[in-house]
Amino acid sequence: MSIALALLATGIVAGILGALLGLGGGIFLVPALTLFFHLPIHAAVGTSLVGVIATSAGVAAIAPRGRGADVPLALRLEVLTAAGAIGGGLLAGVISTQVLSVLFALVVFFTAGYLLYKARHRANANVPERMFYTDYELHHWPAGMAVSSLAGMVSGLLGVGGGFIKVPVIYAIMGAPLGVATATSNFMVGITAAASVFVYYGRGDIHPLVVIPTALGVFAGAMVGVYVLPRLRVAWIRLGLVGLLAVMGVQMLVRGLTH
Amino acid sequence: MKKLQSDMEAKMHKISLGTSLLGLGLMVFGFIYLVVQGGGLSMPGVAALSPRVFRTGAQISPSLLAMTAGIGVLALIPILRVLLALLIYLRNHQALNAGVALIVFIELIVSIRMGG
Repeated sequence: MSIALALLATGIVAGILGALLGLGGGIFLVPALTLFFHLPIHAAVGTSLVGVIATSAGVAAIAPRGRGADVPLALRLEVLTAAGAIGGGLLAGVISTQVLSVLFALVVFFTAGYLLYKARHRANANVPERMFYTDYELHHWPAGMAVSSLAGMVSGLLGVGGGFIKVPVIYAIMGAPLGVATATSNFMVGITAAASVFVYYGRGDIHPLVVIPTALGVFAGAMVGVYVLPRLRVAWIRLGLVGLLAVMGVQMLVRGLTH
Repeated sequence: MKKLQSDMEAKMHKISLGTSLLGLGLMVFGFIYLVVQGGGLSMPGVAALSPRVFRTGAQISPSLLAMTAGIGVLALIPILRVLLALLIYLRNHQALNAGVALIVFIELIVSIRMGG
């Protein structure tokens, strides 16, 4: 029972961070489940995918009116992300994972740098940036779609959700407010996870005794995250994202250069 | 357009909340039933019931059935949200958005078929 409670606590942390940063939480769950709970990697990924869906559902279930996802944007990007994931699966035997890891690390570092550049050169820099507003215009569709399809391709090859790249793309490149970007990314990662979770279910990699406490924790954590999000400053979330991107970029680079 | 967005948001809120509570409720029921019956809680435990088990007609434990059903219901939420978006776009004659939603929906159905 103590393991179930530890899984519940892990899920709560993953849910809060996932809802705040628009990630789904898988990026925290898989290492935690393999390192601390010694789960086989496939069981950890299967559990994480259900957790990502729980985060996505939790955010959608409690997000106040006007703070939900930009659904048309999410669906347009998701078409290419999914196509990229399929392409990644097909290319798995052609392009080496190492090459793609290095390429992806470069994209991640560029995105982190661009986030910081945008923050420094923002118009009305002395006025605090708003987390949510509705009168925004989306720009740079080709760049946004290209990076999304690359994120999907890396998802197919490396098994990462890609939420950590979707938020900066929607926010910094396409110009949506940060709150909308996190909500839209949460909607998208739920779809991406749903596309994979049935494959893991079919393979027998979904274990209810692990999934249930984790999913309950994630759902509760996501609700806390949604409640906390409007009370945080955009600058703090942005800093968290840049830090996460830096860690992910280094990890990808090391994986590309050493494996 | 804003009214459509607001309408969709309200419906997605309802569908996500209702379906999540149903899925989580089934999971918790199955988990508690297992504990009450004195079932083993060693991790990672048995895998969720596969569709093949249902086809064989083998006797299934109610707790595992409830937990598997709960996970299945939770996993269906993103698909329901895409389907809802598709229906709302069709009802509002938004052909481009409906086409995009249909493509994503088909991709999800194909993934379910691969898993089943």
